[in-house]
Amino acid sequence: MSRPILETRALRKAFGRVLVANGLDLAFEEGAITSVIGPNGAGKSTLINMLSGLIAPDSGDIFFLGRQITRLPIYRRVKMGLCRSFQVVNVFPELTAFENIEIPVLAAQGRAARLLSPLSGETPAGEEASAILSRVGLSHAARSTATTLSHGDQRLLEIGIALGARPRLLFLDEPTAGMNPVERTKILDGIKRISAEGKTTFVIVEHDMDVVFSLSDRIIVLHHGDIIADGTKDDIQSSSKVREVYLGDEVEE
Amino acid sequence: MRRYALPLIACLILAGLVLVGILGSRFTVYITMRVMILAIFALGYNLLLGRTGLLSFGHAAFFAGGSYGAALFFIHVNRHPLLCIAAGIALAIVLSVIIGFFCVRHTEIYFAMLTLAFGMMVFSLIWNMREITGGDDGLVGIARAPISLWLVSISLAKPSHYYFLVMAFFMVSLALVYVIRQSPLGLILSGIRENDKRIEFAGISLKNYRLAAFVISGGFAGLAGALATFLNSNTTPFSAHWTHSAEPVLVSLIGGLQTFMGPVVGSLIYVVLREVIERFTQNWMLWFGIILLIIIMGFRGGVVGSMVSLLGLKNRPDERSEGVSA
Repeated sequence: MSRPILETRALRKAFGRVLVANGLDLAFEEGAITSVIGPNGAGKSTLINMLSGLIAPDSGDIFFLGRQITRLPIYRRVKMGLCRSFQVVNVFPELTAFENIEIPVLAAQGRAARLLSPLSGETPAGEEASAILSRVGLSHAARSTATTLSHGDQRLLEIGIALGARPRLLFLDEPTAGMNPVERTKILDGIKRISAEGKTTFVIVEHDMDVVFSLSDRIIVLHHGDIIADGTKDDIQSSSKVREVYLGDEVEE
Repeated sequence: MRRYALPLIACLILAGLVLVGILGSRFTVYITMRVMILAIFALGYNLLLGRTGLLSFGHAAFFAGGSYGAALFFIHVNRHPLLCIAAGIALAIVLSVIIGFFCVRHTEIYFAMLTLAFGMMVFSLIWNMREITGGDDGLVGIARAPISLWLVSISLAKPSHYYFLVMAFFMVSLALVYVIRQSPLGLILSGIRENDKRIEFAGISLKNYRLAAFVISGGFAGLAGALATFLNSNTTPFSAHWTHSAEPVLVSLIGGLQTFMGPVVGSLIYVVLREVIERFTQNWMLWFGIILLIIIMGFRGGVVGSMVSLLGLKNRPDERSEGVSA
């Protein structure tokens, strides 16, 4: 077994009396696509928020590439290769699609602080940003302002920004929410292809079970801040506990 | 066509300024210097307001930092104008690093109020430290010594001579701000303005880059302050007053926050308009306020911004040359 790319130890977080992470011990293997699922309020988003640095855990530790990152600011985690996308569109609205992606690319190439040389001379950054645009299928919209893109395209751009930061580990928070079937297929194929290249490990939070089962090598089921199941697609589908807690909840609704 | 527009505009400005310097009356020369000094102040300031999206009400402190830095250097160390100006900029930068360090942690109204508070502290320090700053009298007798560079010595004593030094600094500032706007840093600052919550997830330290914008604008404010000191041959504590901090805000708004030339055009309108109105009425603030109201409400995106969209030129907040990507 190789060393996990990301590891948590006894990660705990409560909002008031609501426990959203009850001492989570998790390890993510490099290269695998892992999905985190669970009913609403299970603690999925909180988990990603803690791992990406948006909120601090009450206690416990996070290790990325063997390094303690529990208290590291967001941008330092991103520089190490721990990136995320968001559930809602979270782009740079009045910049072009190209510029949206150029920002993380410049940061990743360590050229963001240059102030006396023209941006148009940053050829490597331009090439990398163009490559990412075509990867997420937005080459045609490179010069369009982000706000003028369709919702689906903005979601693609969202993922493009995350890819621009050269992620080793990428959290995708409901990557296909609000997408039409064509865009959905496009993004799922994209994730599979990038994962197959082996440079990026994906952790996906998703509600759509078709997406989860078609993509995941491993599925983690959360419920009230606890891991109630962890395994392959077959393990999860045959787990009675998951049926009871997760699918049972859906039936009740 | 657009490729040549910029050098053309730059040459026109330069030619116009040189003509004013040679042919203009004493008064015209003086007013033009004031326009250029305010324009330097506002050009730098707009990197913070228009580009980074941070509204500071404390930049008069850095203007005064440049002003007093130059004057103190003149009195205590050396009378060389260029060295005095460098000392002024240095003091303004030191001040903006210290003040910025505390302010950039906050945004919006908290940022604005903190800069206002720090600005008022600087004002009261200048007002009360009489032995050093001259208190309410300011520092007087800051003469313009000749600039000696190796063998040549250029006299600055006449306003029409000093004019060309101000003009040189103005053109350099114009070029610098243009370059910064087109640089990678310029794009990052736009990103901060557009979405300061996402920028950290792009691997950018929000605080550090905000501080960079703050200090750069502080440096330009310091240059403007130092030039003003030599223009008037004295310093005044009111250059640090918070009402003075409003000037670059107004000027940027009049000209257009999202334009490069906005602060320059805004400065021209501001200084000239004020000068004209003051001749007709004591109540200049009222009329000035009304005219500002019309400009700000009537010209969306400022005078330059609306001209650009009126003429059908490419009206994007971040004009960029094509050809980076295939």
